[in-house]
Amino acid sequence: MSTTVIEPTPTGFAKPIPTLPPVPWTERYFRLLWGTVGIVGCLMLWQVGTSTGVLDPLFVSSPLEVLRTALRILPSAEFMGHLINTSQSLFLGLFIALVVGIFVGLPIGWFPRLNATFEPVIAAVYGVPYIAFLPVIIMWTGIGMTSRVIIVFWSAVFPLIINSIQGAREVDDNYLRVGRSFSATNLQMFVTITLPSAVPYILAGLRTSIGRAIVGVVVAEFFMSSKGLGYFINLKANALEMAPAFVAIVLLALFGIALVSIVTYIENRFCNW
Amino acid sequence: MPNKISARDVAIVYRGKLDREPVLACHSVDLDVEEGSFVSIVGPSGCGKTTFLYAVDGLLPVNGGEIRVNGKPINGPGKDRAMVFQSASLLPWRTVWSNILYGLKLKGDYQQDKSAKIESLIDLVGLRGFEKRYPSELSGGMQQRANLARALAVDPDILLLDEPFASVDAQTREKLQVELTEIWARTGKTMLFVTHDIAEAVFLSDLVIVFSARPARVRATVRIDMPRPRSLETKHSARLQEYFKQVWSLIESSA
Repeated sequence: MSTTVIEPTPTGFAKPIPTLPPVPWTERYFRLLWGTVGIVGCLMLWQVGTSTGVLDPLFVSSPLEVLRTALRILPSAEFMGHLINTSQSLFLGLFIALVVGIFVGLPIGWFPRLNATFEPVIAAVYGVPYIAFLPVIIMWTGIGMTSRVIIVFWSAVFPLIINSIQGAREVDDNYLRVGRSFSATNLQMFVTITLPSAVPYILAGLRTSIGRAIVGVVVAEFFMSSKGLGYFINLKANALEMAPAFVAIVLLALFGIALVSIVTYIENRFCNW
Repeated sequence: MPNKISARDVAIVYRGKLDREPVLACHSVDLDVEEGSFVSIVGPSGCGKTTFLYAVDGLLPVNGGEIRVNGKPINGPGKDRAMVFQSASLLPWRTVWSNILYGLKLKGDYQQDKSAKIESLIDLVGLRGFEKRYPSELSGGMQQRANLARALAVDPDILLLDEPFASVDAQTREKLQVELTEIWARTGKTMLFVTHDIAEAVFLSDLVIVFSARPARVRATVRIDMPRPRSLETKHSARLQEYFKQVWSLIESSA
């Protein structure tokens, strides 16, 4: 049996390879471009609305007024005091939530008996709006720094527990078999297989927790503080000083964005597999 | 040659998740693997050949009979055996280098020749230049090279291979099969290879063991009498085709 191989004539190879057209910047930065249009557009609508009298600047201030106020009050020691106070409760509460979330969640995910026992309890408590616990926590711990940290902790801990449980449960059987096949001890299994597989879940939980923690700290400061950004917003809004209130609100938004960006950076840097 | 692995009247009950019904995967399996030989297990899909391999590795307990390795009954995984798993068993958060090192690291083996050993393994399996890559950045064939190197790194007597080339494209698979016979010739390990690819089993092996449908028993043992070293020509030879038909009809009649 003879085989026939048909090859193309060599002329096709002799032609020069054409240069490919460049990607226009409107396509390369598509999302960045339209995202900016969205934000700037909203700010312009707000500004135009107040300038033309459609919106009452007394109640909604205006972007330029907020900017002017920001430049005035941001460097002041009084405002810095509020900012630092909020940051302290927020970071301390979040940090404790992260540690507790991991150390409670991973074992519950790992041991089937703990899992079967505690998952319904956690699901039930998670279902309750965490702000509903506020009066209870005030009764337990008063209205000091401790209780604010506890509220931030309480707001933030459940997504971390639940994701840690999920992370420890969803460890791929293939990886567990690899560890056992190489005679890993229980501790080695945990450190080299379970923990690294759970890290992306924990970081995803941390993302959710950050948002909830910020809500927690602001609400806590509304009700039980004479310092902090939540207290500041409440105070200024009640006095119809909307511009400083909006400065604090924008700052809280930036706070959230910054923290979530750090988590995203960690994900991209260390979980890029 | 002494028997490296011997199974006598082995029964294995396989239980997946806690709430699943147990399944009798193997029943009364008898087989022997000589030292330094290349033995394959084939059988109808789902017949329990992988389960049996896991039991040899010590990942699953034996519920009846006995599996001996080097003359001693096995008691869990051991240093004398290493497993080359199916695809997707490299730890995705470790680089190729760190994956190959994994077994050694668990043993707490921090000797000086560690990196020299990894270097030579990387050359042996042809992964030079990919040491710093993550598994997700490798092709299926490259991943299985790393998988093989990881098992070889702990220097076992016996290599257990669970359909290592099943999810590799056909052309790469043939290439890897030839390379595996070369690596086997160079290292002198005893190989127990599970596959559903009959041509692969015949090409690689001294002995092809055919399992029956579940619960698996040894249906037949076929001695493959073809000269070594075997090349791609062997793979496409008429001789191999004959063995293929023979093994195929044995599987067909037992399914």
